[in-house]
Amino acid sequence: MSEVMSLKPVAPKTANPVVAIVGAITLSLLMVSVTFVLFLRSSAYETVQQLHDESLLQPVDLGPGVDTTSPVKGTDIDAFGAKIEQRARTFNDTTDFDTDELSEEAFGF
Amino acid sequence: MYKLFVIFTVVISVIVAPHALAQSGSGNLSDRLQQVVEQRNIQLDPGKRALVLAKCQAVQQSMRIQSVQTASALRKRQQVINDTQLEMVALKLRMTRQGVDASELELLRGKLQQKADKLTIASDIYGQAVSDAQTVNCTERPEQFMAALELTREARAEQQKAARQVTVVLYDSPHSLLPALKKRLVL
Repeated sequence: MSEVMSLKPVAPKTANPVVAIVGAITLSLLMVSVTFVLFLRSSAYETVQQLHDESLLQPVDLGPGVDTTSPVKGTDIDAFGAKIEQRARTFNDTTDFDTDELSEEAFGF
Repeated sequence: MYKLFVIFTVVISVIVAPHALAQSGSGNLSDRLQQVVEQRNIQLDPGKRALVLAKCQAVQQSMRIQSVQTASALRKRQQVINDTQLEMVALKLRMTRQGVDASELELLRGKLQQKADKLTIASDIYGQAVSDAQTVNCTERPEQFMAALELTREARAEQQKAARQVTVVLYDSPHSLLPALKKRLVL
């Protein structure tokens, strides 16, 4: 009887929350990875890839005289830059959207 | 029968409401301008009032001419923006086919579009202000005409600011974004 009385109460086992969270994250990462690998190996991915490649090779019609197929050279980029700068030079915002022409002085009030 | 009546009423309301709203909007011009006159405390002394009365119709006429010139300047910018964006798309397509990343062009296109949208909004506001100034009966309500003129000036300043931003993007891009693109192409 005295032996029974001297027994200490056993603390209930509790799960460590950090371990639980890490476990859940690992499990979800594993599931995502498996799904991703399955998708990469599936025929659906092959079809998507094929369509993408084909769309890149298809000439796109942006209008007459617009080249969408030939390889770009460094000089093409320079020419494009010079062209847009040249276009910007034709703008005179101060004159085109003159604020002084609407002043009371301009109207003689 | 009751349901049919309800449906008929709803359809008629949907058709009539926009027209009624539009009419009330144009009819409120005088009220809107009067509000501005009161808010800004626009007052004309007898000398200035006489000047405004004598010249306002000629001013309204000259504002019509200015509007036409502004519309032409806007069309020119819109054309340049469209052409530039089209060329960017073409360049991007060509580079993608080469297997070269051309995301800078997409970035530039978005930036240009953003500024173009701002210019469109500013121009719409300016257009409305000019229209108000041209429409108001200036010989009967010179204070309201002056209020409309003030709003037009403010809208014009915003329009000029928005147009400058478009120009700045066009000016800056050859120096800020395109060199990186060229470098990648060479590598």
